[in-house]
Amino acid sequence: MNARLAAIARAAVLPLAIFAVWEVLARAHALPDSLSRPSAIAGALGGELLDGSLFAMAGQTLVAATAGWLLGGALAIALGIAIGTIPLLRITVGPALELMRSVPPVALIPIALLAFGLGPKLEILMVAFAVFWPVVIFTAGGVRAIDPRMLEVARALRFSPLERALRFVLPAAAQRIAVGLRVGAGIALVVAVTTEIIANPSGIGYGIAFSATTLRPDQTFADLLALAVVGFAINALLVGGERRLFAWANA
Amino acid sequence: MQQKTLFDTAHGVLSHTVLDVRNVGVTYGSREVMHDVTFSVTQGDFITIVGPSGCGKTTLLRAMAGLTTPTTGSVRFKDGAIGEPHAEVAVVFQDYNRALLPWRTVSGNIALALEARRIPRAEHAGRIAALLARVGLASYADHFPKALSGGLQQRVQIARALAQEPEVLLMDEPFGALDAMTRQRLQDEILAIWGSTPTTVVFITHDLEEAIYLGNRIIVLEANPGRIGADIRVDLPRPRNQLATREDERFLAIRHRLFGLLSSE
Amino acid sequence: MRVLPGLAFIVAVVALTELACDAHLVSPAIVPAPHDIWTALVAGIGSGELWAPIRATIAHLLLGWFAACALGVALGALVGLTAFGRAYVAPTLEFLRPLPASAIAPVGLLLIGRNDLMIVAVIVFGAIWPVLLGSMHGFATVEPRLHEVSRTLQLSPAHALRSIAIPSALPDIIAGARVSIAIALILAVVAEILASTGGLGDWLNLAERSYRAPDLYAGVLLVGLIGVATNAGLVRLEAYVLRWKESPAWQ
Repeated sequence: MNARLAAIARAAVLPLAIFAVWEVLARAHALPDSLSRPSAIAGALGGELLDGSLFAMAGQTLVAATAGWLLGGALAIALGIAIGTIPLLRITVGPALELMRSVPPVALIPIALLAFGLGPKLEILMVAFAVFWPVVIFTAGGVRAIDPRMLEVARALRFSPLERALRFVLPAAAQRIAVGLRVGAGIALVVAVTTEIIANPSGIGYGIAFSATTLRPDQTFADLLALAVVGFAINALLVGGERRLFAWANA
Repeated sequence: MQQKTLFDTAHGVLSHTVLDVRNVGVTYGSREVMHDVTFSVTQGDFITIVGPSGCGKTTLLRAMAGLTTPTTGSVRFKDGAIGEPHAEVAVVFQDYNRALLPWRTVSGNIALALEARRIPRAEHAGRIAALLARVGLASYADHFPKALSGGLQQRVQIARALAQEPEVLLMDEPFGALDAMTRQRLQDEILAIWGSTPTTVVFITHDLEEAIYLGNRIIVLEANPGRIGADIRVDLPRPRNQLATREDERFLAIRHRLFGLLSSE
Repeated sequence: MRVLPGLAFIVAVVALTELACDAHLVSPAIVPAPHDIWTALVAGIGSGELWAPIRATIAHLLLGWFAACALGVALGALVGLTAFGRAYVAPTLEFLRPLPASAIAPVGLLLIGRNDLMIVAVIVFGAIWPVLLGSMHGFATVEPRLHEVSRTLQLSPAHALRSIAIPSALPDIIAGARVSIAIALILAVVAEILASTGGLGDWLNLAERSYRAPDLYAGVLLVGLIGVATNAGLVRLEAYVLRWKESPAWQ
């Protein structure tokens, strides 16, 4: 226990030192006003926590990111299983998927804006699009790695394709799929925030962009910090969750 | 060649000490790993250090190499105490695959020792070629270590150590990870190398027969804590031969003696 | 020959889109006919209208990425090679890693304003992470045995850094650099959208606002092309630098 506390204490030294120097320099007017100061940022953060606006923003971002992740993930798993089990499909659709994959999602936001206009639908669909790629690749990879004899047994036992997918393919490829979903979850948050910064007027990303354009640096940094915490928490959750779920495989 | 026989039979009377291990003790926390080890290494010796696992052979070698500092006592090299690795003391590790630079060719790996000694670039090619010839790696100069078998990789490490032109060559179970046939071949090779250079070798092994076959002196370490159990002179004739020497009755006698010493653990 | 089904699929999709547009099944404001996109692309490049944005984006991208790599490797070495760095600095960096890089863009706008410096600065801030973390990891995981070899050979610290630490860390550094350039492209687009001072991001934004769908799609294609080209280039570089890693023939 002591070692852990010591490690956390050591980790805190650098940030605290930076905040201290920042505060002192800001008070001495040695820094541009646009940098604000830790005390003001803390105040803005406190204000947002108290009036619930921070939770509202975070909630909007997380809801959109999760919805997009579920949507993109489900579609990707379905297509991934199909691609993994039907070689002809893989050869035909594969190159097109590779091409689409290399377009950064952010470049498609303007197109999505044209199609869907401002609003949560835009964000959810953007996230779904971005999440789709890693999940479909990992799923297809996981499915292709399944022992073909097991699938033959399933076919011999006269299971329908759907039943084969659900009862055999899915569980066998589960770990790879989980990794893909985890990668997707990381992307989900990033794409959600990016969409908010550029297009969608809701969520933490929008909060940061709005505070910046209305020249409120303390609020900008406060929201940025909140986003860092959210990102860190989600990442920790995902890594921990995957480890626990698949401890049996990694043992 | 004349020099070697003198040292072998005259029991080092005319020689001088290169490494002096004095009352070396090593303790980790509350565990005493090595207790009061004292012996001298004479120039031209081929000393083998043998003992069961846990007797601290590697710890002793690392102290002699200057990689670790003993808790008590000291290791002295000719002029002074060894606290840090000494330029005249070269080390060959057992895990050759981790001790070589995978991104450099065989020549490049040997060159590293030359670069460290600030030997002019122009001389590198000649020296490397000579070293490769000595260890039998002439045709592998431009190979990467990963492409070589274990025995060949270990030869690269030996060549690199020789590139230091060291007074003392410390070898930590260098053939332990190799198959029996490769091991025998390398045993004869290291003897040939030792015979043709004024180098002193300290060779760690857990293999009794290897210890007797190679050395002119065997230091037996007992375990828990590591301490000297015996210091045996080996009077077998040179050059050694894998068949003849191992069947020599003196060989068998020493083998019996070592077996007795080490199985009473 | 193996490419044929994939190619056929792509051609089929383009052809179907063309037909759908002709039959007015989709709104040309959202999905322009492929031949219109092609016309816009050719016209833009021919007239030079597209050249300035292309050049600007590539310049931003490469400048930002190079700076990010240089800083990332230097910082990574400092943090990965010293026990002090690993204990006091690494944790803060690990905390900041899951922060969506695009969130820096509004902050850059706030602190620097609408200009090229802001765009490059945003790229550097965001693209440094993969290289920094890869570099940190690479330097922190140098084979300990090689450290001992370095000591027994009496290598000077500079020599050891040059001949052992850096080559050892290079695979991780390059892997990071590959991810880095993908992020750099995304951030270039985001920052250019916010700054409105030129580049493909600005082009996309303006095209979307004035409902010039063919121009928009043409721009998206170019962004994707830049992404593919830069990635392919780095894959080549990676293969060359790591050619010593090929599996041994005798095994």
